[in-house]
Order: sequence, then C-alpha cells, then structure tokens
Amino acid sequence: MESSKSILEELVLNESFQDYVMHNKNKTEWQDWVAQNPDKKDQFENAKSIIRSLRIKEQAVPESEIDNEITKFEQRIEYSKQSGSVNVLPLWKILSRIAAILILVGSITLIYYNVPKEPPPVSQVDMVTKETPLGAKLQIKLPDGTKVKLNAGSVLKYPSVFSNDSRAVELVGEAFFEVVTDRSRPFIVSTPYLQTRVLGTSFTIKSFTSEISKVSLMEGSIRVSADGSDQLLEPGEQVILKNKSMVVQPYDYNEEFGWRDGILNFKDDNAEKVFNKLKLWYGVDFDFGEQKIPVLKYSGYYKNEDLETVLEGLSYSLKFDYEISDRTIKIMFN
Amino acid sequence: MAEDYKNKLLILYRDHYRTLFNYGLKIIKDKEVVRDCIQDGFYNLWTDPSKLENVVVIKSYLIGILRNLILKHIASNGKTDGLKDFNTFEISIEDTLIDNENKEATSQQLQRAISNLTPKQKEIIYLRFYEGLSYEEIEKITNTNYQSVRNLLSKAIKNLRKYILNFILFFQIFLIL
Repeated sequence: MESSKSILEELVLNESFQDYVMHNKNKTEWQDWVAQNPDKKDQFENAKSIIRSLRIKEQAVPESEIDNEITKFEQRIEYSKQSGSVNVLPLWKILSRIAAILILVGSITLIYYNVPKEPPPVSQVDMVTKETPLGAKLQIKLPDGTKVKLNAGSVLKYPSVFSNDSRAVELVGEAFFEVVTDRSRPFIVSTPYLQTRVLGTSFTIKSFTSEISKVSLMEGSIRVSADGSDQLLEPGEQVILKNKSMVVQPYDYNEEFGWRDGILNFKDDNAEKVFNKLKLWYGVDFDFGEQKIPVLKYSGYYKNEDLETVLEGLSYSLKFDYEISDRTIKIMFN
Repeated sequence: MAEDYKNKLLILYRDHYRTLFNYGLKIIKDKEVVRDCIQDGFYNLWTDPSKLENVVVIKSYLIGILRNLILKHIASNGKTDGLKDFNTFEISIEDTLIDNENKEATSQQLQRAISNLTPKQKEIIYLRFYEGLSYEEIEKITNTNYQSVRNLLSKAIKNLRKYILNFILFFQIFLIL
C-alpha cells in the first residue's frame, strides 16, 4: 500500500506524465509503461484522474475586450511617438478610435509614469492654466492621473507633461487634490505663500492671496513648507499659515472638504465672511450701500441649495432683508 | 522596423491576453488593475525591444512580467510589506470538467482542499496544470528553485490526494459491487 501510494505520487509529480495527461504528449512512452507494469495500472489511472480533476475555472474574456485593450495599447504607442517628434495621426485613425478616446485620457497617465527614457525636452512642455470663475467649480485630471477639484475663483497651473523627477503645480485659491502615488516623483503644490510636498494622498489647499493659507490633509502624509520652516501633517490635521507662522490643528471636515460635495459650510463665521463665501460660491455681488456690516456670527450648512434658500435662512440669523436683481443682491440690515 | 516590432507586440498581446488576464485575476481581483499591468508590461517591451531578444518561452516570460508588475502595484498600495510574494492566489475548480458522475460532491471537496493550500502552492498548481508551464519555467517566474517547486507541488498534491482518492476509491468500490 505504501509503495503504491508513492508510485501514484511519483506519477502525479512527473512532468512527462503530466504532459501526457494534459496535452497527450509522450503517448507511446506512457502506454508502453503501463503495458509493462500491469500491476500499477490502478495507480496509473488514479494519477490520471488527479491531474484531470485539477481543471481551473477561468474568466471568459470576450474578443471585444481584447480588441479594446489592443486599441488602447496602440494609442499609447502612438502617443509616445508623438511626444518625441511631430507625428500626425491620419484622420481615419482618429475617427476609428473615437470610442477609445476616453480611455486614452486615462492611459496617457501611465506613459510618463513608466518611461524615464525619453524625457520630453523642457522647451516643448506647455503650461496649462485652468481658472474657475466665481460660482463655479472644476474637476481636472492631471497628466499623472491625479484628480483635482478646483473651487470657485481659483487658478491652477500645471505642465502638459510632468518631468521625470517631480510633479510641480501652482495654485492660487482653493483646491482638493487626490494625488496618484509615484514614489519617484513627489507632487509639489506651490501657492504664493507656501509649498506642499506629497507622495500619494488627498488634501485641500486654500491659499487666496489676501487670506490666510490652509492645507488640510484627508489621507496620506504631506510636508508643508513656508519661509524656510516645515510641518509634517497627519490625516485629520491642517496647517494654518497666518502672519508667517504655521499652526497645526485638527480641522472641521465640512468646512475644509464639504465644498467638494456641494456643502456650503459656515462655522462661527462673522457676517463679513459669510457674504464673502456667498460671493465665491454663487458668483454674485452684494450691495450694502452705506451700511456697516454688523458684528454677528453664523454657523450652519447648506447642501446643494440655491442662493435664495440660503439667503432666506441667513436673513433671520443675520437680521437682514434682501433684493435680488440679476447678479447683484441688495442687503438691508434691520 | 519599428512597425514590424509593433506588429509583433500586437500579435503577442492578442495571443496571450486571455492567459495573462486570467492569471492576473488570481492574484488581484480588480480587473482594471490587471488590464493596466498587462498593458504596462507590453509598453515596457515596446520601449526596450532588447528585452525580448533572448526570450525562449514567451508565455512564461510574459506571465513573469505581469506577476512583477502586479506585485509592484500591491506593494505601492501598501497592502504588503515586501515585493517577493502576494498573500492570495484564488483558484476555483471547473466543476463541469471533472470526468466522473458525482461531479458536485467531488468538486466541492476538491475546492475545499484547494482553499487550504498556500498561495504559492496554488500558483504552482495553476501554472503547471492549467497553463502547462514546465517546472523550469515555474522556477523562473516564482523565483523558487526547481526542488522547491517540486516539493511545494508534492505537498499540495498530498493534501489534495486524500479528497480526490476518497472519491475515486468510493467510486471504484461502487463499481465492484
């Protein structure tokens, strides 16, 4: 019994025998073997059953998926050629691949990710500028796949192609970044007052020229530097730059990240700040006439509400009446 | 010249896509990741044609490339410490192919037995019995020496044998009666 077991095992582990069972190779050899060893026929059959039973379930792959993947690959090759020299794609090729264009946008990302060999000459790299007017937000995907949501009244500048050693962008205003991990190329956001360095992470930066600057970290880790000093942030923390000094503190989620989800958040904001936020959010102007803005504070939040609903809510707490005419709102404090 | 090489790669892509895709899915369930890794692999071959020059068995070479890229992906997402191995390899048995009558019971038993194997044992079984790669090729792909491949497979078979033979014996006795 012991020896028959080990014969079975030997057979199952024997490459030539496996090939015989799986691919019908070495057929005569094994037929001869079993003819010469009739006493081992049981083991022989059992070994065959064992190998045959090890069939593994596979995911069906339709031809269309393969076509699709190959098209993406060709696009990627074409794109890489273009970045080296001017190469005009025939129109028919472009048209025939229109279906794949969306996907291509995604794969451009990977091209520069993995090809340190042919860095595009610096002179050829164009800077792209994205700007949001007041009242509008913009979703942007950078060449490395990093997602940026640009809040109202902000400007983001980035190269059409990132260099091999870093991914540097410039921001004035407020933006949320979801940075694609790339250990070899740190992602750097420069604002007029501070610099943020990351590997792969999500965070918001608020740095309008006139206001204090804030960087808030959702996940990952970032290093913020300003005027020669450095702060390392943990998720849940923000750094506030005010009068050239940096303070690290926990943040209010709705306040820092809510705008991405259409949440207009007020937290102990004085009336002046409330109106400034509305200006930015809805792209409107306020006319206070000769009145002084009262010193009142307001907390609350509105999700995807129109301006009138928000004004209605605010008018009770901040004690005013209003008149909307086009893009200007006349405010009359009580 | 470049056009020839490109066409060669496109043919390889088409011929091996199913194999690579299915292998990749055993390591990581995210289909998009597998597709991206396959493409990155071919793209690397495109940028450096010399890589293919000395390749004897293209299938196992491509599997090896994909394996490394997926490991790299997993490591960069911080799900594992090292780059050497993954901690899952999910295979399930095709029950329709078991060539005896008590299909369901056998496949269930076998599936249970297989799920008790280590990821590496499963991978070797897959590469050997499903993809038909030689021990030598498996050795290269998995960075495991020949004897270890054999030992791992032997252990795996020992674990499985109980289940398979129980069934086979049962079936034979039934026939005799």
